[in-house]
Amino acid sequence: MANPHSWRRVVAWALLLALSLGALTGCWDDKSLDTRTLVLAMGFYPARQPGEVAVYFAVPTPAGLTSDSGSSSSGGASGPPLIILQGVGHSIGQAFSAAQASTNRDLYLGHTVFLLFSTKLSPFMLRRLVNALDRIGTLDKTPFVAATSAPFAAVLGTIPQEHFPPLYYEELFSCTTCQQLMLGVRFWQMSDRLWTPGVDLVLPVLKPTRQGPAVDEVALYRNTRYVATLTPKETTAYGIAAGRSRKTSLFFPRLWDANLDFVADKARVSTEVVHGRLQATLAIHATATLESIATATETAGQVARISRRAARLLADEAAAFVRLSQRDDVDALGFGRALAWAQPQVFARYRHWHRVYPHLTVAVRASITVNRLGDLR
Amino acid sequence: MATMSDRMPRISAGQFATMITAGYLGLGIFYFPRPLVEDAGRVGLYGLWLDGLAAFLLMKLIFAMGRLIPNETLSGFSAALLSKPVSWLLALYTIVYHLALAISAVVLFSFVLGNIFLPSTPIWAISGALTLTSAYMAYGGVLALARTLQASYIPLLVLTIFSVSMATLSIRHPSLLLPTTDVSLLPLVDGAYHQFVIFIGFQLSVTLYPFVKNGEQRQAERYSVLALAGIVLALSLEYEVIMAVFGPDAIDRLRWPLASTYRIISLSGFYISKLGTLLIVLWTIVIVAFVAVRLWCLAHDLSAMAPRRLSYELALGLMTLATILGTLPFPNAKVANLLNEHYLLPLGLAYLVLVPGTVMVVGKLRPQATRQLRARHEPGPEV
Repeated sequence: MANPHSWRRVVAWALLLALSLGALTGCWDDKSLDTRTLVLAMGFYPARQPGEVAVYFAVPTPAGLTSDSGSSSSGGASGPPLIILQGVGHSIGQAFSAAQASTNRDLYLGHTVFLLFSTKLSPFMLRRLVNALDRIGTLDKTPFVAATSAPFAAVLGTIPQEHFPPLYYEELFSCTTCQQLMLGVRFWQMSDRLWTPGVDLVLPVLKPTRQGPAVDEVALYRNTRYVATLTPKETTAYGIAAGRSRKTSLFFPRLWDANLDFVADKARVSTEVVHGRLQATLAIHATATLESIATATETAGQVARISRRAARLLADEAAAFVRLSQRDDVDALGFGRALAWAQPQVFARYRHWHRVYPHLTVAVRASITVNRLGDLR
Repeated sequence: MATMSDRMPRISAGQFATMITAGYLGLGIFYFPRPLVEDAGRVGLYGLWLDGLAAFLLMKLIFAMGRLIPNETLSGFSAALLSKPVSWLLALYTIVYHLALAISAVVLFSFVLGNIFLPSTPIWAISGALTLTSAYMAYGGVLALARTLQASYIPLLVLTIFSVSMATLSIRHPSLLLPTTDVSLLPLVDGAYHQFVIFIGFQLSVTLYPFVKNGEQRQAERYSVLALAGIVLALSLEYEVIMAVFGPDAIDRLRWPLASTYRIISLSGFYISKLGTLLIVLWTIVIVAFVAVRLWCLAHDLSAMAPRRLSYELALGLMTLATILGTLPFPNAKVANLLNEHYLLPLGLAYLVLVPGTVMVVGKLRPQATRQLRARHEPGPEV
């Protein structure tokens, strides 16, 4: 070992200390909470000037942050739960700077849980926005995403006061026991769909109602171009075709008034070339609970007939959605993607998948497993 | 020149294996598995296994060289075996290479941290803090470093497996878990070559090998191969999960694919809902360890090469300073990436093949000199 009192050791220590003073400068981003404004949700709308975007930042107020379901009388601060800041610019950065100028606190995107896109945004602007959002490091990739044709304040303003806003969207989009269809899309799933060839974007649509924002419709996009919003009935068909049904009900008045509840399904898409022709298959498998039947108890024969009928119904619904998506030329289920992943060279031959998709032959198959409730009488 | 007395503390077989393989997963966060998927598409998994095989063979080669004179480092014996100029050239190459590798790792991870967590903090402040922490870890010498590594690396491995299993909840394309049979050889080899960048760090075993406790060298080799197999397995799992979550087309666009995958882990109801983000912070340990091992190696080689006696501490200070100064000119992570891809990867591969190859050929041609060198560096008393 070297002599501990040698000059080398002294020089080494001096060097280390000098380096420490220079390089261990501490965390420059350390800001106390009261100088920071946590952005909860962001909305993107076309601005009055063409080529500009209006970005809204929903910021919870102290009243919004302290409100808690069931504890409205706990003496928390009163007032509106959210305030909305607005910035306009050619890019998110410009709009952000404009919004930042309207507050003396640091706008922080690290806790954003919801992004709302207007259906009126141009395809070019939507692409530019998603690109920019992808690159914002502090913004997590997990916020829920939705489309709307209503103003931002109208949608956000309808969140019931007793709900803690950050958890509200979690319940709205990813609660398997409280939603009929799982329509929730997170931001990373949105950008994933936009950058993957052979599949198109589908976003849930938020409609303001008195009970809060309703989610029973979806918006279809071709690449980044908004195409159409489906009706609630068509949205159910989409949910079944995409394997997103969790609590759909089916009623069969001609089969002993049988009622199937909790219809939950999975869907699998495959596309291949058979004898030189493209052939696509959509296979759905569902499970359901026999909630009630007029005969009080059911026989195996009755369950078999109900199952067959239910499977046909599901297949018909899914096929109706496929036809609708072919009419709109929106490959919402990803038939092209299935081909691209199974046979990349074959997919590469179809340079414009959207010219192929409307003419694709799709076979739809469905099966259902019914859990019988009357086994114990 | 360094003498045996400098190298009294010896590390165990397990510590040796940890030290030479700890960097693999660390470097993975920047690249893995983009180069594989970019070039080979869905068959990238086979490319990873090809990389594992190549790393195994090169590891065998480097250990064979280590066995030639098992108690002295390459920089210690090369002058006597290969002649002075060659030895100097080799030491210079080793130092410059490890320095560049350490700088590249610090730059890349500083940009990850800066981009995700610390947008207002200048990159030099992040890279400076990272390098100094590494220097502090390396300050206590090889034994302290090995123990610190063992204490931090193993919990991190457990967390990695935990996080991979958490990410499986986000799998949306289970069909992609099955590897395809549609294999084209050239893109596969191309992808494997570009991905090999995460395996290029184990040259340092040429310096580390003589520090293994006497009699544990063979065991150390075995453990290293096992650690490599474990890492290839962990990377395969990560590959499968990333592929089945994003699909091959989107992986290409992900910024730091592994970091992006951790960032989508969102557990509602869990105390820390952004678990993945926490994991990226913990990843700092791997990078700090990676740089610390390199700094130790650099300081050791520098003190062995110095014409006059240079203490390990001073050499470490100089190398730390060189690393910090070296990170300053990098304007962005892309430049560090280019440095890795165009220089460090081919030069690292050349080192891994040529250096052990040359030393072994010369060793065979000069059996007398080899025997003398081996005798001169007979093991001293253990501590």
